Amino acid sequence: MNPILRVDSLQVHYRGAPRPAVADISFEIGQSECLAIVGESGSGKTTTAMALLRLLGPVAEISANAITLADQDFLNATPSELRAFRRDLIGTVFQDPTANWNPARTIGAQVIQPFPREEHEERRNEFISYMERVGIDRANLRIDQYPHNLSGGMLQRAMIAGALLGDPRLLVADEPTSALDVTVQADLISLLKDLAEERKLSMLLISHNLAVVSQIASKVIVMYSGHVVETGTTEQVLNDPKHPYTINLISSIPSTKKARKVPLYTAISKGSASHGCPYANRCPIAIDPCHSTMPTLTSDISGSVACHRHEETSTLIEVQR
Amino acid sequence: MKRILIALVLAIIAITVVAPSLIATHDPFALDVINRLQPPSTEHLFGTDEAGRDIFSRVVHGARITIGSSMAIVFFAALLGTLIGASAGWFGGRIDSYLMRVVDVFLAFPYLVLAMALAASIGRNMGSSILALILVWWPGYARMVRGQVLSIKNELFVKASRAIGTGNARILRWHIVPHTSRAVIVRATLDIGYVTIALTGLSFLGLGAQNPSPEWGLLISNAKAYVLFGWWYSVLPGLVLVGVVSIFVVLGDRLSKEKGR
Repeated sequence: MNPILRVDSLQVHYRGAPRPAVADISFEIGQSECLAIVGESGSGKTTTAMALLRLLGPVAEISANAITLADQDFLNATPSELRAFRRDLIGTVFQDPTANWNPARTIGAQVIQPFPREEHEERRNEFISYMERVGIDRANLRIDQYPHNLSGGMLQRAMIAGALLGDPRLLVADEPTSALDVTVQADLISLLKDLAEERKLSMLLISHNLAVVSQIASKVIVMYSGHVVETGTTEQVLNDPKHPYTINLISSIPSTKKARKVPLYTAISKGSASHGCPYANRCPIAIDPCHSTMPTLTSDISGSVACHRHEETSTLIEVQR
Repeated sequence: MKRILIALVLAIIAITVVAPSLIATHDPFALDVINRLQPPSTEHLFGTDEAGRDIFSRVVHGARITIGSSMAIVFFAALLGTLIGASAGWFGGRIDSYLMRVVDVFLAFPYLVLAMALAASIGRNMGSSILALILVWWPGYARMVRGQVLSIKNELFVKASRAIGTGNARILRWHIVPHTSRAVIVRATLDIGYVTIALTGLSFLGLGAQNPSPEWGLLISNAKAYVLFGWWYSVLPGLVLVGVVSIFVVLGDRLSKEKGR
């Protein structure tokens, strides 16, 4: 079966930056599959998503062999084609719900306006029913309210409802829960999961929250400093990580049971690892080749990993949970 | 209390502009040479001029010309400036630098000198003064709106709107313009006062309105020959001009403070 989204060798370079924000990333998302990209701040995960949507503007240079979504060529689309794709094929949910709504317009008007005028009535009713579906009560009143009338959690729900308009094939969720408090987070995650199942939606989830990822995603890509360091199924990556970065990322989740023993490498020395592995300076098990040669992604049945010592990492560092 | 006072004065100004004959006591053009240069009295509130015309009625009728034209100038300057500034800020790059260099050229001249030169070259009448003032007034708006657009275009809600497939024109009209309109309105209110000064200035110098128009600048210009025989002729219209300009400046000032709340 053809994948819904296919990204082949995407690279993003911000003008004036010493190194690319995204060095080389390729992935596919199939029908009703959820792929998560995880990594710390500045690892290039959001840049990847924004590059897919072509939302980065002229400050970024994007190159790729191919970006196709539902058999449409995204990479070479004209601006008007691109607008139609964004409207019809992709739903987007952004991080901060309060900043992503225009305070001067009602929420209904904002999500309906990309559609042609003659569809407005129909879309409005569709939006009301989606708002009810995502758990907003009195949706027929809420639709004519302004963003300041709704709480952060409600605005995020409304954004998800808006993303469903037009029956998209792919939902791009860029840290959909980071700006919300924990109880609301849990609700929204299960909502996203239910929606994806019920509407056979494919999803690209950008997150640094591994708990969230383990709940919805079926595949995971771990990024570090613009490079893909490990990919695989969620189970495999989270339970049996091969890359030292992934191991430390998982170990860094605070636990109430045990005191944390993960070494904290606070200093990120940018640009120093120009030849070798980007993680070499922070890696507890780095050896000489790590500083001089870039490791390539090595695949096996369960996934792939970019590390010179991937065969022995699990014996060298222990995952602390 | 201050609010009510400002509203009251604005209402009086509005009535004078819309229907001057309701307030005027005499025909502003009626000559009465026997009663020339009479001091203020109950019959002639502001006295009479060198041809015996009632100065109060002339001031009231002049309000329509002076304030009305100033409002029109501000309106068109704000419109032109907003369009140009918004395009410069929105498109950026080369379009931005070209448009902003044009703005710089206009702003490099003292505005009144430039307006005089333009008005004199187009022709000595009210229309040419209005046109000249629009031409020197829009660059201020263009620069201000450009700055606003630059900051709003990077707001997340603009990106979010783009992500659901909104086109450029719609984003400008929907997200950018509503957020710049407030600053434009505040500035326009302040500018009505300043433009009134500039416009009466041009007429005073003989470039704008021509006799027998009761335009305020021209009125005061005519009065300057009689300062020694009839103080009321120049002082009273002058005080009205000061009052009207002040009220618009105060209003604009209050509006701009309102914005911070």
